[in-house]
Amino acid sequence: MKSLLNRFPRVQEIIPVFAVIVFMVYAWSIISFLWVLPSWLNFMTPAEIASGFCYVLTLCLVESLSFLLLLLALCFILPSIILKNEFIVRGSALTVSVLGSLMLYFRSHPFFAQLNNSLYSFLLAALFVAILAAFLSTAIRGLRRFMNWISDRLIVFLYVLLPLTLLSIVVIVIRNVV
Amino acid sequence: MASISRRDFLKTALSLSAGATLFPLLSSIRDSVRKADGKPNIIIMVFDAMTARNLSLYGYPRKTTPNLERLAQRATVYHSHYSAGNFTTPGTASMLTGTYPWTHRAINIEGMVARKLADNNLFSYLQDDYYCTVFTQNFLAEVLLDQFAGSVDRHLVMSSFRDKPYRAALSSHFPNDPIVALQALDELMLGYDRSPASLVFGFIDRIYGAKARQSGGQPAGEYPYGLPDNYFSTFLNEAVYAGVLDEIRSLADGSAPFLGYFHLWSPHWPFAPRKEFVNTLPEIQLPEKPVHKLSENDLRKTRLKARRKAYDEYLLEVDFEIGRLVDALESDGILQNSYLILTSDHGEVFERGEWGHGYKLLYDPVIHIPLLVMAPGQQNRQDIYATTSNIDIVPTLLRIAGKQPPNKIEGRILPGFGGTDDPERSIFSLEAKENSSFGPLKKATVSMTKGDHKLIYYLGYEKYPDGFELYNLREDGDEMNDIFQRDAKTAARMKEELLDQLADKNNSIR
Repeated sequence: MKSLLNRFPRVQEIIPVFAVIVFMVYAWSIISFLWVLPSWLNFMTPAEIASGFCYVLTLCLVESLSFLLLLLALCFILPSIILKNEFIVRGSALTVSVLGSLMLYFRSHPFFAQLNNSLYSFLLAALFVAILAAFLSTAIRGLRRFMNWISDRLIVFLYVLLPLTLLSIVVIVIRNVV
Repeated sequence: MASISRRDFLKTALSLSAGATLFPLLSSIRDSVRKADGKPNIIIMVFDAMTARNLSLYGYPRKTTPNLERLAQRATVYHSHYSAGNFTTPGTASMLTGTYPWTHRAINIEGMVARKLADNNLFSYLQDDYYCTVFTQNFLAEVLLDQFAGSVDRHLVMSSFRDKPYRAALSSHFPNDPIVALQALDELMLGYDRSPASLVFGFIDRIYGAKARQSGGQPAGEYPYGLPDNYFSTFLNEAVYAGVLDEIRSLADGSAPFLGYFHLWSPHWPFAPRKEFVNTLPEIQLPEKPVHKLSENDLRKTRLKARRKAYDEYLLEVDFEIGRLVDALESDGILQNSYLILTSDHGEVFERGEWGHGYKLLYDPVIHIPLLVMAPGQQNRQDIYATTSNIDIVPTLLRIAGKQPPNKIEGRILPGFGGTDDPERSIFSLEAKENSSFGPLKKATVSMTKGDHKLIYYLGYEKYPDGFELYNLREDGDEMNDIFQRDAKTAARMKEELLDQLADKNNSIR
């Protein structure tokens, strides 16, 4: 059991990477929410809008945890030297490159109807960029320092966003169960 | 944790059991009240993107609607019926509220009716007398039906009667909070006509969608062009119509009069008829129309021709299913006490380089829609040539239900059901999806049809600033000859009226 757990990074290493994930996932969603807010003001009551925001935050948490689980699964599967031993730097680099690529993709292909082969070409390109970013982040000293620094600084957002999300879950439960 | 006393427990238990007993009792009281005055049932069938211009019922050279022609022999047929919008959101909102898009403000894709007007809809007007059931396969109409949920007794979810899903419908897991969950999760987080607000799940949703759509779009046995789909799942028309028929039968078994609203996806794109309807229609020659300045597709003639052919074949299948459904309703005796309304939310275009709907052009094919009303036991055909709008549906149904249409409704009672043919009446259609829904109209296309003439106004487009076009529909049904300069008198009169209307509506929202 212990040897299995050893394949995962330590909690102190997981938290900074999780902070990067949370920052990117939540930022994109909150900005998207602010884009639709003016139209919602015209159609929904303030209480409904606040509840809508609760759904957004809750899905963001699920999304962030899913992405973290994916990284942890990679740690478990791959040899330690590839990801686990440099989890903060490479995990953050992977997060920034993958989620950043998704942001770029959605900027250029916003519509669901635009589904075509570009999706698969994008997947290949994003994979290549992610591997390159993970490699460069440890090879270039400045980049390594930056990744360590940014992941540490972003932890502050966990103190704001996670309690808000827990509150959101309570609101959703009340609206749907009670 | 605070302890509960025996007295509290008994009080709670009594309240709960009283509630449980009273709820069905109250429902049955409401049903018996609804039943009391023997009102006719109302069945509304909306066929998405069905233009009147491609129906042989209205003179189209391809025989696309033999069944509608047959049914028309016992119906009131409206020959000049217009949708107030050029895609589902404004068209459906107008039909269900009896108001123009510049009033209800559902003008954007996935838009809703302005909050202060949302309680003024067909279902809220009739809910005291009718058991209201709604179903749609169109996600834009679903947004509106969710908004009206408080006035509806039964709302069949969009995924009813579907085949294989290829999009997640996260809101279906929150049946007690449908509007907020739909807006926040399916519309915002997964996105459809905008980037999804969820990076990871939005992307997964699209990969899954791409894969499923690819397999749905492949020729599959009975479906040479691929399976029908509504951007969320594939479906089979025969299954959908069978499901709707079952639903109507169970409604007819109830004690209260019912209002059934069924908004079906076909013949909307992708045009996917069954094998038996493919290559059955002859080639036709239609006038060639030049590409418009505001055309967004600029499709070549050959592609337009191919799409028109597939659409016409799909119409043939839809017509077949309509015929089968109405025959079944008739043999069940349901039509003896029911009004059946067959119509669409907007049309479809295959001309001037444009294909589809929801673009900036408001030529007749995208707003001229069919309307047939079969009254209980009607045996003769009645043709109405007066210009009518789909905002007239609500006041007409209120009249049928014995109610007085409220003043806030902009529509009028249809001729043939108590209304009069007013040649001076102006009918408006609006395209303003790029305009803010809560601001004055600054970028829009407005069409005004009055008698034989139709004026189109293009407002705020860089490529065509303040453009006006005028057509005489009686002499030039294909809208080929712009007579705005030639018939200056009519043009000036109609232009003044349209600009006055627009200024009036813009002032009211400022």
